[in-house]
Amino acid sequence: MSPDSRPGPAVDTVGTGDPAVDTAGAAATETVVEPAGSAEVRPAGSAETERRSRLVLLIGMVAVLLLAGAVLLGVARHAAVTNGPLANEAFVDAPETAELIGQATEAMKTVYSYDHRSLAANEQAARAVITGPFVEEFGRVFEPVKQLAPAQQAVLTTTVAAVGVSLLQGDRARLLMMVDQRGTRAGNQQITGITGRLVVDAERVDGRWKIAGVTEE
Amino acid sequence: MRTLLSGPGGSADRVTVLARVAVGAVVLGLAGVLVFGGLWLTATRGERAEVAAAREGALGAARQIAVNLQTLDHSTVDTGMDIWMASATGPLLEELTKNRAQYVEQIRKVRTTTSARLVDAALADLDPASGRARVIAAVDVNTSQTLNGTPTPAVGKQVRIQLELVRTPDAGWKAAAASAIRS
Repeated sequence: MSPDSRPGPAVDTVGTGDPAVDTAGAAATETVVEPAGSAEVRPAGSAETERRSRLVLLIGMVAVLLLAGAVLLGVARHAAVTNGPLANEAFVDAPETAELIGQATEAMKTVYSYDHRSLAANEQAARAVITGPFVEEFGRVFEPVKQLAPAQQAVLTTTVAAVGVSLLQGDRARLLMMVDQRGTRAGNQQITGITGRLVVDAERVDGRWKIAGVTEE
Repeated sequence: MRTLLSGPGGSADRVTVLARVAVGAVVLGLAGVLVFGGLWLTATRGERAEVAAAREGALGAARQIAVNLQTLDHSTVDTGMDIWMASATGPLLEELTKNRAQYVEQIRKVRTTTSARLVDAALADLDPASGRARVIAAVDVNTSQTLNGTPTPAVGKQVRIQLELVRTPDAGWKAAAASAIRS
């Protein structure tokens, strides 16, 4: 492109007061080109200007396509990492998954185990590993235990036979746990042996995974 | 570019300014495509995406296999055993192949019909490199027996299953072992 200082009649046509001309991309470029093309008689300078206008339009269109592509890719990536399988860190982040399984398993054993001789300590330990809505639910379940367990000399021990991780996303997780409970009452006579299939919601609070909800399946 | 801008005002300058804007937008667009394209590729094609795909693949297969291996109807026992064997590989397939005739005979004799409903399943372990996974599943199984041509009321059972899965080269994830999770 050569320096172009030649004035021409296209000046007025092109310039026709569109404030968007100076600031925007393709749409503005178009308003420049169309009037120029419609001019009937033009001196030498306008041909060159028109040629350059077309080039600018072309570049503008390429720019719009590229920008649209960039936006689409950005949206696609964002959707991929915030929803669906790619947002789920379970087993993708192996150390995090292992930590979740370990801490959630210990928390479940703690929450669902007690000994009539150490109820206060059991409750304190359990309350340290629960959070959110489960705090209230634990209170509802443990209140009758505190009243009845001493007289019955009840002991409940919960073990986790198997754990699966369904979801791990940030500080939230969902696990499937196969738990076994063994309870004894006065005289160390085994009176219960319950197996359960539990969906456990866990939340990471201050770096520790805690139980936020338990649903029996 | 500097020389383009040096002339006095006019349409040519308008065009020049627009040209700069357009070229700037092209550069910006190109950079955006490269950056977001790169991020998108890393997110969807990278190692993490492969592990996620293996996890989803193994779990999806296990959900079906868990039901398959708990379903058997004495009146269609051959078809049922075909489905069992199609779900299996390795040691489990060997065992089924060896004992198939015996199982078929037993089921025909006791005339049981079992149907299964998957309640939930989750991955317990995953080794994407070697194509191995362990899945635990909660399955509700209903069993009824046909006595004198009449089926007895179904008896429900809550079952906990563990499946060892292996990714086969040509047919996806299959169970190499299946066992009940006992206390």
